[in-house]
Amino acid sequence: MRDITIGQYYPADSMIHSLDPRSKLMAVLLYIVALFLVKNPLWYIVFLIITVAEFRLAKVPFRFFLKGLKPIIILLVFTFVFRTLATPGEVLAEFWIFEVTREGLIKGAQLASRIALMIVEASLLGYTTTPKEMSDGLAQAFRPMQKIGLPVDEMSVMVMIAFRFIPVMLEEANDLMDAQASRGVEFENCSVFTKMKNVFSLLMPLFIGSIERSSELAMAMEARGYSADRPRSRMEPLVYCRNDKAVYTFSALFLAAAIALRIAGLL
Amino acid sequence: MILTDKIKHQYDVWQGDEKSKRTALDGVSIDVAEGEFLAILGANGSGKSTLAKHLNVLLLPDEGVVLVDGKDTADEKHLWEIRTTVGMVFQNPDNQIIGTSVEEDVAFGPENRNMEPSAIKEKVADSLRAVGLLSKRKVSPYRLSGGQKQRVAVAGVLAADSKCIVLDEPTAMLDPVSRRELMDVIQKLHEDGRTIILITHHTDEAALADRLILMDHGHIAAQGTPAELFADPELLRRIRMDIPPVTELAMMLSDAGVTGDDGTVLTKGELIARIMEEGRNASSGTGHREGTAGKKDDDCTISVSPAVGPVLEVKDLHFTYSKGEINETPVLKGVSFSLHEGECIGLIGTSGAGKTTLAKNLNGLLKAGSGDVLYSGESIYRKGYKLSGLRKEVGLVFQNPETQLFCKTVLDDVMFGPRKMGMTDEEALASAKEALSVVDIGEEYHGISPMDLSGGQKRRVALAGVLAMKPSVLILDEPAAGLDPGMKTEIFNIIEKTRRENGTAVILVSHEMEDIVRYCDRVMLMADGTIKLEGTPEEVFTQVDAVREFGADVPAVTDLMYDLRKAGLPLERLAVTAADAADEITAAVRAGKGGGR
Repeated sequence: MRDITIGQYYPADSMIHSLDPRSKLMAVLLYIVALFLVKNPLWYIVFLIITVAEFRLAKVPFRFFLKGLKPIIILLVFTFVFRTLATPGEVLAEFWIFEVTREGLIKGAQLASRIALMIVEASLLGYTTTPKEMSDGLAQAFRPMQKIGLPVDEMSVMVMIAFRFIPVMLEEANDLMDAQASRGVEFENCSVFTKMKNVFSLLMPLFIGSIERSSELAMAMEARGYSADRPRSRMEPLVYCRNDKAVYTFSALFLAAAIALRIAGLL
Repeated sequence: MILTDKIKHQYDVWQGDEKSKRTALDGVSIDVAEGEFLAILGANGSGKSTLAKHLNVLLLPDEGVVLVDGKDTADEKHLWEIRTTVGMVFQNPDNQIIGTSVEEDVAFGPENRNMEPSAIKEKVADSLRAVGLLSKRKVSPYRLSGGQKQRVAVAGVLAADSKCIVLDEPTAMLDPVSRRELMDVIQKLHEDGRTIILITHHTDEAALADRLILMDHGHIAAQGTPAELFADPELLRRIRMDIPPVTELAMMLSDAGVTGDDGTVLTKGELIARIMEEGRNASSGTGHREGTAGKKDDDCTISVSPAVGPVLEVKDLHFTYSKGEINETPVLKGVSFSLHEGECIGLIGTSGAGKTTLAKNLNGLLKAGSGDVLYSGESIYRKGYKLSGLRKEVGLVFQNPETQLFCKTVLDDVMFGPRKMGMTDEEALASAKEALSVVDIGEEYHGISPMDLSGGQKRRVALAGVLAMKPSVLILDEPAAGLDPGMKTEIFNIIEKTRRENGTAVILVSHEMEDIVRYCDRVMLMADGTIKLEGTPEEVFTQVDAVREFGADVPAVTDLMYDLRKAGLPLERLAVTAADAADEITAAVRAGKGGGR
């Protein structure tokens, strides 16, 4: 429970780390769009090579590559198996009521690798971008929406606070579980129903705890001069540099190529 | 610089569905000069935090005026100016840090003031340097210790250019070493000319201030210099405060005629100077050395019966978090000890030394990688051993247990454990009622929601929730943290009573060495996953160098004697209680005089 990959920044001094978060967000978005244009799973090798290259560039150790996939491994296996068995076509093998088809295998591999690549690419964004950069980047990207009344700055502060308190809240939940277990509540050796009931009794103190916490936090923010109505500056305002241009150009060309190939029927 | 004129403030208090008003401040007038170090001392609920919140417009007075630099806080156009002038540091380090990295957090104030990026960077670097955390600027606050987090909060105030810093019980959640570090930072800022207002219920911290205000039930009970106010132990006792250990020792020494009685002694340095002065003056001593101070009072010593065999025995326990993963962290590296019926062991060590992890291993919340835990001679790792039975016998009270109350009524909450442990409703009820009477929560509170209780009451109810299971071993993790001296004594009296009447064995995890000396038969010092020192409080704490090497601290009087010895006073041995210390020092000074003749 303590090991969640969200917001697990991996500090390193690399070209990817120093990119503007907006460029990285855009690149990941275009990468995912391109992923969905692909039909023949063999093309995923190209995507894989690109992602591996990005990890090398970002100086993120290779063991982190698969770490992001660990929590969704069941989803991947399930997707693959289900797709393989549920797609009609040329039968390759048969057992009991199931048929493994050629089309199914292709579909399954396609879907599973699509999800896996998407997750790995997105986790790289998390490893190389601090939550603060991420929320600033999102805020900037959504800046035009401010005209239609979207409270962009407030949202970016909210995102930052959420990132800050995820570990704190998890720890609090763990402490509560320990405290209740010490008073006789079972969280492990019991039926799913009892477990759910027991987890439910955690919600109340957790809820009260976060209300108290948020009112204290709000007070601390106010004491430090925060107000939603006043303009704020940034210690590190976002500025594009040369590398960012290169990233935009490369992503755009990459997507254009994918579209062209798709139209030509080669993907 | 800050002036309050007869301010009044009332809160709404809910008890069930009934609303009532509680007066937190009742006509409080203070006057703080620029560059002053003012301490506000008072028990929980005396109104000191409410007063603090008036100083930077987090609250407005119902009656009366607050002026900051001559500007009325009720006038909205001064709001941001006043909040810039007066910065605040709160008690809970976790609830005031906003940024996801240290430097981000410190930048929050300047960013709110819409400063230029280059200016912000400079401010952030300067402020972090001032609190000694510049090297940690990229680190996530989650990875910092409590003391470091508080220093980040101080840096945040500095970066916002505040002339005055109000600190609301900033050390309540810190271990002794972090506490000292933070107090050093505060004193340095004061020397640099900043106005400091420190709210606290630690008299030794208040002793460092230029001026002191004592608060009691929304009133100012007294104000003056620490020396004036601490000269009156009666006054301190009346507002439920302790006398600082050094001052207490100084009083004993002057009573015994060792030193003169001109003025109250506040700091270690002063007392050492005074004693050494006496040691050198070969004047006529009063001669007799009757045991005015006497021996350690034996009231608390409860007979320990080693003949029966230990109730809990730990053998070479090893524990590692996230074993086999990248972030594998070994925490316990071979811990062994045994605990007998009726015994009280104090467990000390820095935050992160493994104390809480050890506690969780003792009732099976965590399972050790190797080693063994025996309860009543039986291994809890034996196949088929019932952990639920063990958890009834080994009661664990966590830090801030009041945050873990969750039932609808006080009585339900206390009955929760006994019910889960398989008692019938009648048994559980009887047991809960008994526990509530032990912790002195009257019947009138049984039916109300725990949320409507005061802080001290909540803590006692949480304690009752564990006592109601009638454990034979009680493990308490910082049971008195954040409580004022009066409430602290109440909690410890409950523990003592349980020990005496039921022979419950106790493990007390604490950062307060004075409490350990007072209530424990034995002390274990943990560092780096093992027990480094073990013995009676006296045996352990007199090894001052070793204790410090392992990141823990010694009682204030022991520290003073240690320095006295270094200054050249031939002390035969070091002591851990003020009374023993007074005896030893008296003897040494008189012997010195005798030799001088």
